[in-house]
Amino acid sequence: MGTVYSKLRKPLVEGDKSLHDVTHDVCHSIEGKPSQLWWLGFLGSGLVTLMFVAVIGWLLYEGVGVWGLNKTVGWGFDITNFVFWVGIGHAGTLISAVLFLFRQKWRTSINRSAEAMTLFAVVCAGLFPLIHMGRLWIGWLWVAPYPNLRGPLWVNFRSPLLWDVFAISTYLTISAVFWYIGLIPDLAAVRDRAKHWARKLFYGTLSQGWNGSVRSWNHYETAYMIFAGLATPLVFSVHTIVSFDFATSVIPGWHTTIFPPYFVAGAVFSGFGMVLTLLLITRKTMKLEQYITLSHLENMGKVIILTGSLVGLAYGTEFFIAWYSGSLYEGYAFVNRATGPFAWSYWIMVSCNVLSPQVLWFKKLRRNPMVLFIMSIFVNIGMWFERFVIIVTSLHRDYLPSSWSYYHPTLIEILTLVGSFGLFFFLFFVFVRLMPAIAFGEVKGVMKMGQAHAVKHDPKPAVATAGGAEAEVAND
Amino acid sequence: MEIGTNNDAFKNSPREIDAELADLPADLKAEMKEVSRGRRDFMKVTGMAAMGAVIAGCTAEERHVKPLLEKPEGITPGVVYHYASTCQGCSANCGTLMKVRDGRPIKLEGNAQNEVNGTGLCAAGQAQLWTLYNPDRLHNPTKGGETVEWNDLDAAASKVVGSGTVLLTGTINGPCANDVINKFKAKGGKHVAYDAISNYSIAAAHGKTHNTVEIPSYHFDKATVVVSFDADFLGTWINPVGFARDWATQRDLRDGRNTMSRLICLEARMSLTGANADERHRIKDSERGAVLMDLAKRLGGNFGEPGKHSVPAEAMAALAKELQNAGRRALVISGSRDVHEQMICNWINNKLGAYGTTVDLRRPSRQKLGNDDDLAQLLKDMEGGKVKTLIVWGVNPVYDLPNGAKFKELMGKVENTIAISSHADETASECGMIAAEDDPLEMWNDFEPVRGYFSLAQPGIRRLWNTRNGFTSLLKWIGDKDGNADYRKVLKKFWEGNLPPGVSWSAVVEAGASPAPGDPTGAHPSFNNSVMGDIKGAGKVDSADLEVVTYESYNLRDGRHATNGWLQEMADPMSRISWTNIAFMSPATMEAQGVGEGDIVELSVEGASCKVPANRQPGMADGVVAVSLGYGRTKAGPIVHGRGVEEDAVDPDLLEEGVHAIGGNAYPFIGAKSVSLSATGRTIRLAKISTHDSQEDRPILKQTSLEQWKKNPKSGNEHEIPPVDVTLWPRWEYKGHKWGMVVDLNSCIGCNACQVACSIENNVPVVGKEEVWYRREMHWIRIDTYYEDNDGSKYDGKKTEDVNPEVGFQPMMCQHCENAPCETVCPVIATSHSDEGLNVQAYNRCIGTRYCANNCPYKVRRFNWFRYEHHNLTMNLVLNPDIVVRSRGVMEKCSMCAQRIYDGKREAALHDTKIEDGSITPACAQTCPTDAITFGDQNDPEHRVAKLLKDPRNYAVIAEINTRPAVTYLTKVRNRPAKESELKLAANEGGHGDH
Repeated sequence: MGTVYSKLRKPLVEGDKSLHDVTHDVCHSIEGKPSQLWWLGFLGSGLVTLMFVAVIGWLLYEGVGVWGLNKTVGWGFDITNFVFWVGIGHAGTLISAVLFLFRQKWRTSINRSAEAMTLFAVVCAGLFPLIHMGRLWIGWLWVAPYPNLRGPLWVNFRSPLLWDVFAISTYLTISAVFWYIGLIPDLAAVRDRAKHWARKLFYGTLSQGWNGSVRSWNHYETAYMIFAGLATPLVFSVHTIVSFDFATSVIPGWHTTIFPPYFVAGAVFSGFGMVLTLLLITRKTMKLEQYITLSHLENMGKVIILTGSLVGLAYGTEFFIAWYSGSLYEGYAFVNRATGPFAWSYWIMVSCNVLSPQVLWFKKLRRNPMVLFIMSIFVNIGMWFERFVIIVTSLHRDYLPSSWSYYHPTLIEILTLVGSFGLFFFLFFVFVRLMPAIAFGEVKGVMKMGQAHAVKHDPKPAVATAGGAEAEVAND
Repeated sequence: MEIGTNNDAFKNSPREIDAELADLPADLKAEMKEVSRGRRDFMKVTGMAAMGAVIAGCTAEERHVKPLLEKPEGITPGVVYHYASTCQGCSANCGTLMKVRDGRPIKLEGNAQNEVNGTGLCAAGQAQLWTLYNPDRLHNPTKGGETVEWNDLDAAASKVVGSGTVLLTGTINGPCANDVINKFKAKGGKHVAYDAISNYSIAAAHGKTHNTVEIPSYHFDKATVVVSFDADFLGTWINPVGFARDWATQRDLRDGRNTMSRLICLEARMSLTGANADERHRIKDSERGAVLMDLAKRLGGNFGEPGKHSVPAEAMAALAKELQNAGRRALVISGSRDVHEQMICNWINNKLGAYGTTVDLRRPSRQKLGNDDDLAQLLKDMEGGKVKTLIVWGVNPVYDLPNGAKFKELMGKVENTIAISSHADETASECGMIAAEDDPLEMWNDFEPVRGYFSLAQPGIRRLWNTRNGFTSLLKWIGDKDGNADYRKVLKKFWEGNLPPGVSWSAVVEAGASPAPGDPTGAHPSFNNSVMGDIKGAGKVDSADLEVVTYESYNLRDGRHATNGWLQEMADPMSRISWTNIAFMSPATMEAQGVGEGDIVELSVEGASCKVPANRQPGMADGVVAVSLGYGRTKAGPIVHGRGVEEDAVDPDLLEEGVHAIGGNAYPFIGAKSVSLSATGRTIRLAKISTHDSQEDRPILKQTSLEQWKKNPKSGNEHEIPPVDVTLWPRWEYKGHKWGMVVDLNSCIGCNACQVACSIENNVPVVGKEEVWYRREMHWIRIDTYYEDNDGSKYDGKKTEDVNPEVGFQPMMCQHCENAPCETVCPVIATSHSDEGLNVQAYNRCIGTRYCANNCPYKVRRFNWFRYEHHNLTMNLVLNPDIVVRSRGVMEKCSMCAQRIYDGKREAALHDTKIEDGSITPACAQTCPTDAITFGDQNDPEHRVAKLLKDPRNYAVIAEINTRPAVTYLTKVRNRPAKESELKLAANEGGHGDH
């Protein structure tokens, strides 16, 4: 078991941390009194969440008419938000599962919060198909294929919306389980450090009697690997199925075979954009700069420029095919996108998604947190507009010009979007307060690489705390 | 269908039983009183009322449900009865069949036996049901604004009615009605009749040229060339339903016919008739006399020098030639209010020999008997204080006289003013006494639409409130003993005394009209050439920079339908705008005046002005602004503020501005020529049902010219894409019936009758102005209006070629696709395919994802964004009990009137017969005046639908996406030379025809 340390590789954790330092640094933020900054975020996002509840309540009381949709544009902010949040949810799984399978060790500092982000994003995403229904109170049940005695009363397996139901619920389940399994060793560490009986009980229950034995680690690693294997295809399937909502329809601008890969690339792109936004905030506010290093940020930047270019390519391909197909309606749909009444949204999308990531070609900018932060916000905006462009500009002018219309979102719709961000951040603030925001069990496993050069401390054998992880690293 | 008589001469007669069943509204009345009209409250109360109805035992109020121990003769609860009556939606007096169920009329349809209109009925006629159930009608007689008992009112009125009393009414043409009027006259009273939309100039002109002050009857079915000078005979002119029906018979190319008449329009605004014209010239009203004079001159009549006008000389020469060729089969009509212009029209018709063929005075129209001279005299008399008592009956002169304000002032000089009115309208509310009148659907009446042809109106429901037939009121006040009798008995007695031998009263009641008099015989009144010397000045062109054109609204007609939600929400056929009056101008004029779409402009003539939003109307003459009459009512209940639902939704700002949702009143502009226009700086959002008027070169509304069609019956439809057999899901098999529709675009005139009929039949809600602005109207069938350049290039409304565009109308409803895009995407199978080819919607199953509507390429699905209900419980009486009222959050759409299909199938099964062609007719097809929509079984080769499917003109809209619709269309054929683009298409046929 020879361990190979590369001299060329930069350490993944900076600042000569000992293993104890790592545990302490991460757990400190959930053990001590929360900072003012946290309170601010918690209360602020909590208020926005309450507003979210209120606007949804109003929606349910009055009807979907409180939104600005119409006979031609049946989906607007609602499904845009849905696809947007599902997309956000992609990076988490990608980072935790796909990068895990590809042995990308740099993922360890960020995978926990990315997974949490996934989970909360999917929660936000899942809300929109529910509240967009005209009759939520029966719809939530009727989309489930539950056995009943009412003859042919059954769900429609031909409907992509039903596929969505399965895709999203599967994704939510797997993501939650995967996230939770990854948390267990860390929760046990928190339990062990807990002084108050309530904390002991809370974290004790959640950590399910984790004892850190080799046997436990062995089981844990196996389970983690299996779930990573299960989650990986979901990265592709979920957004592929979401794209089917559009691709299987007959509406010009929707009826496009490029959608599955295009949506997946877009989802990874938007997911990484959002992860970047969150991590930049987290590392600053939680003082985790030494764990979430500039190299992490740079790596994510590279993923963003890759997926951003893929998305840009897709935009171009769509236009080419629209022209090449010779279809009157398809051709018009795309000309209308770029020059019609919603051209403003199209150009916001192109500038944010294709132009703004171009700064990442430069290493200096790639390693500049401020530049990255601004760019990530643009990516978030751009990817929201991408979904808006696909949904609204395709619908508002389809086949019969007599039915062409415009879509005027109402204040309620805008507040619903804002509210979903409130919920997302609210859950995130609760999460960073209750759970270790960094998977320190895994981080410890990747620290050795840096320690070859750092000779100040004589680290305790890593086997005691993270043996499995170490073994894996060593085999790498 | 059973046709019964509403005859209460028998004990246990239908009439009385109807009354029992009609007690329902009385019960609801108590509840209604407590209903505050806020929508929120209303929702609560409705919910509670519904609960109360279900669990009656739990309500505090005791109610009784009494079973009928003896089944009344001739009526079965729950079974539909049809009663023949006469429509009073305008003055045309079309024959109707009232569909009555459990004592409530729930649908009006044209009476096939009726001579005037046949099976067709226009939108306004259909929509009268709204007025019947409208709770804003008067419920009691009033005196000095206070509710009084009838006895008190009669006592007071009897004292003042007699000599020196003037009775002001609209057209009264019924024989018994006139008998009552004569009795009134015998007591020293004077009768003045006027029509708000007057056609008196036609009668007056015939008074000069033929010595008979009558409006002739017009026979469009005998005309091969029709030239219309601003006479909107397909829209509103005199007898639009009958005219449209007759005209369409000459335009129909189905079932082996191959000739078409020509329609040439010369007009200032863009009328429905103009939109259907084969050739159209834009002339200002001021030029019309000159053009007529020019035409007469070219036909050999020199009455004076025609002024310079804008119609090219070649076009005039061609027009004259065409008329000469048509000879007595030609027809020239004019909507002008100028007697001299009408006289030229008469001269031309006479010159061509049309009198006796296409235009006939031997059996004149009696639909507009108003006499403008009498009215002028009345105003003088009122001014001079000669009128002691004024009874205003069924008309609204304060609103609809050009000098209505003056009339209101003059009413102050009259000692006693009495209104016989069903509404406290602008005039009635100024009167000292109001004798609350029945709704036309609650009362007996009689009519004579054409001389010698008599029709009856009978009630379809027991009167809802404490109202009374106006005839009874009048008879009572003049002390006639008939005043104490039911007016039905008076009518019956009179008719029985005058019926031709062999015709029984009950037969007349059953048919709704006396036997048709047959074609007129005898010599036609001769033309008096000597009067033509008087008209020298008629050819003078005296144009103004901006001329105003007023016309009868397609929606509200003369204004009497202002309270009607269905008609307010109906799209104006040309502009697709609802809920408001519009100042229409050509795009060039809009630009010249510096106003944009929706800008509120103030139009002023001497002594009057009104504020109306402006909108562009392609095809109008430049330098003309057109405003419709009928809008701008100030006392027509809460509905005029744009929302049928919420009283509190009046925008006080708009009220202050005088810009009601209903728009400004244009009556003061009648007769005015020059108008000044100024922008107010305010802009409002227009409730447009459709905002895009070009079909963007898409083959949606396919058309060709008659010439091309004769060469190749597939012309215009060359590029039809046959459906392919490759489908993702297995094809459907239709072993029994396969319902389908074929819409003949050549016959459709865009009148909207189908849309309103559908809404009434299928309980489609009215959503109000703001919701329409949001593009959320609920219509299951709509008429798409597309404009196209005359040169065949893409229309964008801006190029100079666009100034006189061609217009096409296309009814669009659920296409009931075989490969329905909506069906595959619904997650819960709320919309699915029936084995008879219908795309059916299970409202109870729908969860409202709207995915189906998004995926519908025809955009015909409608979503219940809110809980839409009628704003009052009485309004709910109009609901068709065969159709469920959809709750909020569910999708709905055309069902091809599934309830009627089931009825038809049940009938056939009962009688063990096969379903005959025509035995099932959806509401839209039923009411279409021009028979544009054919419904039937595509699997039955004997059905007309199956035959029309094989017509080379048949095509499916956007067939290339392989939806395989059950609704198909027949190309529109225009009787004009082929356009370049059409020739190009025909030339390419070999290359692209059979993909």
